[in-house]
Amino acid sequence: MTTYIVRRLIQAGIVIVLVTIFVFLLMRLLPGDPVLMYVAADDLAVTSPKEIAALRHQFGLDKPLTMQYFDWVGGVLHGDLGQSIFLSSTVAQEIARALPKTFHVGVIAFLLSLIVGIPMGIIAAVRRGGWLDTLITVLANIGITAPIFWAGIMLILVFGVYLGWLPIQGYTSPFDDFRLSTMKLIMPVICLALFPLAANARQTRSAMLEVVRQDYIRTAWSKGLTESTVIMRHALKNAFIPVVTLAGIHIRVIFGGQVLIETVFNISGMGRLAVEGLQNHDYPIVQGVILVIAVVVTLSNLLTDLFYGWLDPTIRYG
Amino acid sequence: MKLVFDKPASAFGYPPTIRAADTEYACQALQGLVKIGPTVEPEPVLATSWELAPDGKSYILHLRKGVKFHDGTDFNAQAAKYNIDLFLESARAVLENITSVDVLDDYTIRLNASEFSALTLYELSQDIRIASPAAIEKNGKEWAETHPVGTGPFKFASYERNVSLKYVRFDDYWEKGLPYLDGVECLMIKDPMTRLASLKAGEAQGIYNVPHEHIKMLLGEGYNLVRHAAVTVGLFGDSVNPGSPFANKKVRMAIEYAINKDAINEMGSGYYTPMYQVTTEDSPFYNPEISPRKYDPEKAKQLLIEAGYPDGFETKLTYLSVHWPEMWQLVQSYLAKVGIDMEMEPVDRPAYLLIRFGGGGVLKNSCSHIVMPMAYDTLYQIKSFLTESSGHCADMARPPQIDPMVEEALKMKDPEVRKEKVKEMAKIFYDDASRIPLYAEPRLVIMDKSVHDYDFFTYGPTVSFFTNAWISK
Repeated sequence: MTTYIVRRLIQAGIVIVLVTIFVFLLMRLLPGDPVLMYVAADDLAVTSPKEIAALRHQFGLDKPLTMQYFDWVGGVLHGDLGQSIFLSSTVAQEIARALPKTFHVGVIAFLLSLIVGIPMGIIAAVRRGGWLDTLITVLANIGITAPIFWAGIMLILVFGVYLGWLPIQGYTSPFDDFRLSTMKLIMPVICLALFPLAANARQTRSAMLEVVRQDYIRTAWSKGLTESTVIMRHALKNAFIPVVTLAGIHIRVIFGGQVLIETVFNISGMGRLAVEGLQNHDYPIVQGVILVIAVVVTLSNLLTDLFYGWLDPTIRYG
Repeated sequence: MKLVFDKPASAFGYPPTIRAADTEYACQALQGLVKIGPTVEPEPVLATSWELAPDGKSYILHLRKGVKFHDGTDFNAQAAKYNIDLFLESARAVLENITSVDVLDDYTIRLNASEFSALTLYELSQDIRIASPAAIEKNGKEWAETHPVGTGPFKFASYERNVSLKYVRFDDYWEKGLPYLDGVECLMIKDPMTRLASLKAGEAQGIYNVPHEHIKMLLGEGYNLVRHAAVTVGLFGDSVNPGSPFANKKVRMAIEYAINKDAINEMGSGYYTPMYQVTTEDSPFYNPEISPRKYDPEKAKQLLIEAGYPDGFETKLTYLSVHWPEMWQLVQSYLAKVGIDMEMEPVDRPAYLLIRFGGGGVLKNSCSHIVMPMAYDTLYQIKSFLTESSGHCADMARPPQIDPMVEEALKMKDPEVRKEKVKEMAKIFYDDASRIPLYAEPRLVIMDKSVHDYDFFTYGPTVSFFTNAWISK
């Protein structure tokens, strides 16, 4: 197992390096000049060629590409992700500001999708053909097909504008005001959890239906075990393998794809940071954010694979 | 009072790095020495009076006494010099004729110039903001960029990037008894539906840059509208290229006659004032002798025949993709009626900026649009955007006499004589049709009716003052 983990970490390192090279080159191949983007950020700006040249030198953009890349890598190895071209802060500061918000919203959405989605799937499978199964299946289909931004706008209109129950936008740290933080999180978390919750419900139902048809489950029933014992002790663990795979995918989507939620609910998280960096051609921001996302994704893949081993002892890693 | 903006704040506290959009955020805390409004006459702020030396090579400014910065330090001549020196040492294209600043006494400074420039006071009003030297020296430039410490009626409280910027009342403000508001919070919300929802839910009292389609509904619900012409939008072609149809003046004139600017205004709910010269009718630099080229497709066709294009021609319009695509489609349809077959090429901002700032040769027989800030002093506008030396839109040929005329106007001390020179330049641009003006694009702000006595845009398209504002219950 240790050998497996070390090997996977080395592979992850190689993948991350390749990703950084790819992103570095891709950003510079895109048409557009980040310095021009900066000085002409709005149509009301007046600028001069002298100012543009000075800024290009300040950001090191007049150096050869290879030197720019190795300067950046050297900085990363020293914990310095560089200075944003567009923002008056370092990349590390921006990520430190954005990541906790994305993490906070993402973790709660992820847990919600598991805590609600899996039981819904179990109930639907156990009560197959009944009204509960039908209701859960319909709700899951709605959850999968409803566009996330539409759901967000609908929630804002109903609960924010018409009913006035919930704040419409923004993020408050739970350490500053726990109640306000919770109120502000309700709508974005529901929107973000909608799809993975629905997908988990459907996948769990499907996997459970597969498992409950197995001979050992029939044996368990014939032994007179209670429904909860049969489901929770014997069926669920084996039905979990495909659900874990799905959850692993959802981690990546939740943490890497929150941009729509963050835009609608005005949360300045990693998604918005990445998109704005891309739009502004803010090379250091994009490189830094992609680096962090690449690390999160490769680690989540590793954790998912290790979890398989715990779920199914017949799986061995060498 | 909470206001919702559509753009994030970036650097709004360290004066040399404050860009135009950040002025909206900075102006609550940082003030300038003078301000200039529609009369184009400078008005006192932190400078109470000023004199030009007889040789025109220096301005003496007398500064306001009894003014404190938000950190408790005094505003005085040393502070003013410090801030102006920051600009002079930066690469900003501001006060380029000023060589040094001398402190004559605690409340008097002298700006020394290599030569007289008619725009010195205007540039002072637009760009120079005064921040506390003590705060900058103690905390550094990077800190200062997001922590404005000025002399304004509101002082910085907190900032969360892309989310909110909070100011609170400055109790030691130099206008005694003011401001009335306890604070101003600038919320930054990117999504237009969320911005609207925050106003309707009472989470904000005003929204900047409301889409014009929403104005009628909001006015019907009792909100108040503030409107100000912020930028002018025009069309220009690859006129430096002798082989391009745009190199022919008659083609350029024909294009202007072919476009129905009133229809554009109607599409914009009546807020997009048609323009026929470099400035609008309410400007003191407006030239009444210029006969506007109003919509006349028959005249357009005649001019195209005279230019050697009886069957029209094919071309391409490269435009910023987020810049009102429906309007460009309308322009395309009007040009098609006179035989100009214009292919549309929406591009993102980086590609568009290459047309605007690139060295030329980008357009290749095609055309694009230029968005130019409206300035109260039209000479500033022409110098900054329409001269060849400005570096903007290198594919657009300018009348050769414009650059020398601008240099000449900059040396004119009599404002009335200068005004006539600018009107002459406006006529030359019009006759040459170098740039085809289309409309003045407004800034539209919606305010809740409970807010009173606010001042939006009197002193610039990015400047608002809430010194006298109050909220009724």
